Amino acid sequence: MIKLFIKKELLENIFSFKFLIMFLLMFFSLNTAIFIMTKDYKARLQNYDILKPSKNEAFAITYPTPFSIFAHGLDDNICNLYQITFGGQIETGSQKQAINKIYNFFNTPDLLYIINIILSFCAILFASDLITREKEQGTLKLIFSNGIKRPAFSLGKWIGGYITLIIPIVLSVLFGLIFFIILAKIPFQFSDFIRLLIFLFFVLVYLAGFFSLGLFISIVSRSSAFSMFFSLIVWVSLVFIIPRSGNLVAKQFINIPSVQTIEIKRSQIFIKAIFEYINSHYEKSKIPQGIINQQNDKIREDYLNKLNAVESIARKITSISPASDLTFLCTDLCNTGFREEQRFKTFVIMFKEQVKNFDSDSDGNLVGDFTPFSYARSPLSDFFNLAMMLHFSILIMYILIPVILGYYAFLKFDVR
Amino acid sequence: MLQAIDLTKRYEDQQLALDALNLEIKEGEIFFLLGANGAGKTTTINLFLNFIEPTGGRALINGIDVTKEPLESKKYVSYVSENVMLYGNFTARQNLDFFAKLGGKTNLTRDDYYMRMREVGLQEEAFEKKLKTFSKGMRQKVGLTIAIIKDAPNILLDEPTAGLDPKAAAELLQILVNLKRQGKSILMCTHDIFRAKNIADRVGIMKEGRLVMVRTREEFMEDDLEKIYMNYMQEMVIEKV
Amino acid sequence: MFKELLIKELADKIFDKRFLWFTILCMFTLLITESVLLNDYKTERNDYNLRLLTQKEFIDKYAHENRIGDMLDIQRPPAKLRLFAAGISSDMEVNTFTNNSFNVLFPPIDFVLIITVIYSLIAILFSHNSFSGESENGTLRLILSNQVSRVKLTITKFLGGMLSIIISLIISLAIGVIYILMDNSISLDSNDLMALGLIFLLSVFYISIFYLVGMICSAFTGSSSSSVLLSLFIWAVFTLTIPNLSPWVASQLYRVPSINKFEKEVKIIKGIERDDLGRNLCKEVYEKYPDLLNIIKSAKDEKLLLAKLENNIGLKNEYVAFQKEIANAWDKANAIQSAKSENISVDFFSKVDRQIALTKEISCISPVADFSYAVSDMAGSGIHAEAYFKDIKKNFEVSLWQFVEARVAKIKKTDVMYDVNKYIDIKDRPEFSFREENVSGRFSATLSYCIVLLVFNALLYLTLIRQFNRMKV
Ligand SMILES: Nc1ncnc2c1ncn2[C@@H]1O[C@H](COP(=O)(O)OP(=O)(O)OP(=O)(O)O)[C@@H](O)[C@H]1O
Ligand SMILES: [Mg+2]
Repeated sequence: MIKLFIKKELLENIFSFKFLIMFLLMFFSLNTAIFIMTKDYKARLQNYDILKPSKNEAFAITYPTPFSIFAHGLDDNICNLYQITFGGQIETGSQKQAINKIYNFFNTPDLLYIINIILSFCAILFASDLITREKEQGTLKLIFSNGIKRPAFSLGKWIGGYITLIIPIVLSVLFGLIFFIILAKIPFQFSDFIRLLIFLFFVLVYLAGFFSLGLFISIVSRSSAFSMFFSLIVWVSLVFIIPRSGNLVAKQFINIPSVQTIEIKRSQIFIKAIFEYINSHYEKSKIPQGIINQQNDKIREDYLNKLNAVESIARKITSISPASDLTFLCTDLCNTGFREEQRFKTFVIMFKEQVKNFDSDSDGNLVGDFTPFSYARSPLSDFFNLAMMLHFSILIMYILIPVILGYYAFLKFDVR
Repeated sequence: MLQAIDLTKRYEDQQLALDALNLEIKEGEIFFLLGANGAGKTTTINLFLNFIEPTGGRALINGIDVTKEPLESKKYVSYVSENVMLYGNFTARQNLDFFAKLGGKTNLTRDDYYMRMREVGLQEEAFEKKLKTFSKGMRQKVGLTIAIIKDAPNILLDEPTAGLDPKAAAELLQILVNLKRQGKSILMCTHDIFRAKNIADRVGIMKEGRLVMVRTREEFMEDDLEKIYMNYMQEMVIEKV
Repeated sequence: MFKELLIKELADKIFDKRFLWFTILCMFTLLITESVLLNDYKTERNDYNLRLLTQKEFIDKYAHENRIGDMLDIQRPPAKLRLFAAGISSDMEVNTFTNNSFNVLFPPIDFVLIITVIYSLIAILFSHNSFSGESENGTLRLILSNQVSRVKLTITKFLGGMLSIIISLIISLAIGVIYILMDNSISLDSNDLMALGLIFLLSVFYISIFYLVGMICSAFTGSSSSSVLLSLFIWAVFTLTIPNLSPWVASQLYRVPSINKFEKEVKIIKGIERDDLGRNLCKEVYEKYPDLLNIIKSAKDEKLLLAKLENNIGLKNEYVAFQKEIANAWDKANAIQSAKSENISVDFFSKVDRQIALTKEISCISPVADFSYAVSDMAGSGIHAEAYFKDIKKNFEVSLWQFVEARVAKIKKTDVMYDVNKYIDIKDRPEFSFREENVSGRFSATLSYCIVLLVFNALLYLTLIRQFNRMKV
């Protein structure tokens, strides 16, 4: 019997107007995202080749990862060029790429964004009238006049609906992968495909959550109009409101100075040390390298500690929303997340420790014979940890809770 | 066989929709349930289908209590609903196919469906058209075909002739007569007194949830059914004043 | 007739169960957002004041000509109306090792988001069955069987529906503003209130675009279920896809080399290249003075050299001339390389400006982009507002330099031992003060976006009338 329902669901939906529009939207947005981010990746790769430090330069930089096509995350931060200068200061180009000004207004349109926002929108919308529509058509009555077990019907509905939902996604992603990634010869290795599979698995779990939520709302609502409305409210809250207020709310708990304050303090330390050194008539004993390094370290550690505290609170708050859980999971999986950024920064600091005592030329560039900075992104095995399990289990919760609640609500469902 | 024993339904808003209904429809009998809008006809059908729980009494289908064994009881009943919308994206045949399988008829062929649709008088060219393009009467016919295909011993019909053209309505009744001859019990709720006069074995009139009158064919053929009905309706008006 | 239709439409929307739900949701969200953002603003402002103070104290104590530029990093105060549009904060502009990355992954919520995501969605949900719903009920035929023209019907439907949304918008906005006014830490003057009024108007124009989209879809499809889908997907494309994609597409069309690369080039020009050039120029000087060079080489240290030169007056003069020429050579090298880097940077930044302009133009095809740019500029946190600040900052820096130079010239007169690393007292320097641009300035900056929004409205309205005239009832 379940098979019959699944088949009916597939047939009914695949030839519907809704499915057509959904397919077009998904295909268009997923493929444009892959296309654009592939281009962006290539451009950044070229940029990396230009910036790649030659032998005696105290530069710390790493290559962009091809996974930034899927989840761009913090890869721009990670691939920044950091220069260690006099006194172990860690400098970057002072300005950001000016186009960022405009990017600031909108999210980066990578695959993760499209999935996070547009596909979840499709999923919840798609599910939101699966039951109410049957009710309005009167077919629900007809079905239950046949002595059908309700669990069989609802399970068939879930499976059939879910399969129809993911068909266009799988097709679009496959298309994008083949045309923009495999044919464009993006350097993927075999192990990378495992990562990719895990990525897709997360996406499917995430969308199953929204699908279940929509179905649950459809079960408990009286009309399609209301269930659609209510689904959209839930979607907006989960996808926009919660993730985007987490950071602000977290800042209420911890007083953290702005980046600019830190920069000012940093530059003051340097100026003061040099000023005092020169005006004490170059006494060798007072060479300011050590002082600068020490004070800088202190400020930075202080700040990073606070930042981590804010981040961990914000992480907890935003984790309520499956959209942010997916973001955390996928950016970590693609080595473009917080974890990777922190790891990279510790490497930079280690490098700084190595080279801080070298002398500098008149422009502050360190000169000496040091081993150049090298960095490899973390291996896949690092990905599996407690935090990841936590985020993943929240995603699972978003399937289980609506499914269980929906199951019981449907048993009591009023077919009239 | 359809049986209602002291069947009572009081809705959540305390509206007494059905008040101790006692009714038995035997094999090979057509029972017409008449009554004003809001009299409780649909409620009766919903109770037989266990779409709502009775507040008192029992409804039996072939002797099976529908509240105790809802799934089992539904094997023996087919249903034509008030406004059949069905799946707009499916063709008539696809709709039939789906519901036939639900009703346990898994080995029917396309030709069987076509034959049944011809029987109810659906035009040939509509068989493979999507249902959302159908007129109300055409949908009604598909709904009826679904009930016929299930071939259950009991049939519940809720105003099936609403929206049918006179010819189609006449054909529908002919089909009902044929079904009756096969020994099916038929409960039909309607406002159509003339048809009732033509084919009903028994007629019941409902008023404010009570079955106020039942007449057999012989009885109502003597009197004028129309007159009887109007009388009962009038009483209600008088009572209210 | 007009009045009845309008009132019916308005009542229809206001007594819809959904109206209450979403007004509550918006009020709630806005209130939370405002309170959190207000707190954020306060900490930002404290932080800003702290920065000013540390800088002031530092300069008072350590000012010296060599690094005065590094010491004085003119800061931009947080915009008051940032509460309504986060726009670009000055924190996002700087690129340091200690970035707050959370903002990158989860940009903060603000009023713009509430309008562009929640209100526009509501507009669609309210309008998608303006015609199809009534057509399905049969009431559309009833209405049109009276003496009502179709154009009139569209107007009343549009106005009535928009009015209901505007009412809800006013309620939530008013509560937000009252909340801010109650908190004394922020004083909104008439300028700000006018800007708020304009932001409100912009929001109405923006929402009405999507209201019209819903109505068009309704007239186009004639069935509620398809029209809601069609309009929602159009909404998704215009709000979630195009605005995010268009800047990237534009930046692919017009590529600008990366700023890192540019900075690296400048560094090389002013560093290694300059040194090479300087050395080459010095070589030329050396060739002029072969004898002197031999003496310098043979002398073990400076003292010996000086002793040698003391004895020979001709040689001494020659040495002074030599030293001058060497210094000139370095100055020349510096000048050449500076000019070169100046050229490169002028070229680079003009390209950047062109890219930004192009990107902005392309992204303007999406009303979301127009709206976000317009509101953030109106609130003083946008791209225009930033440019305005930079202009004022530049002017101030010029005047400050003049002040410092005058002061140095004065000191030099009395102090022969002066060098650039010596402390100078500039406690009486001019203070930087920044007032946000007045409303008319902000308005003229956002005028083009407003016009684009209005054009969108007009076009959609015309389409609606065309579509509705064609609709079968
Ligand atoms: N879900 C419900 N909740 C409360 N009262 C209801 C409900 N459904 C029906 N009723 C009431 O029960 C009574 C009987 O309704 P029912 O639908 O059975 O009438 P009907 O005889 O089928 O009328 P019609 O000829 O109009 O179809 C009516 O008074 C109605 O108001
Ligand atoms: Mg009825």
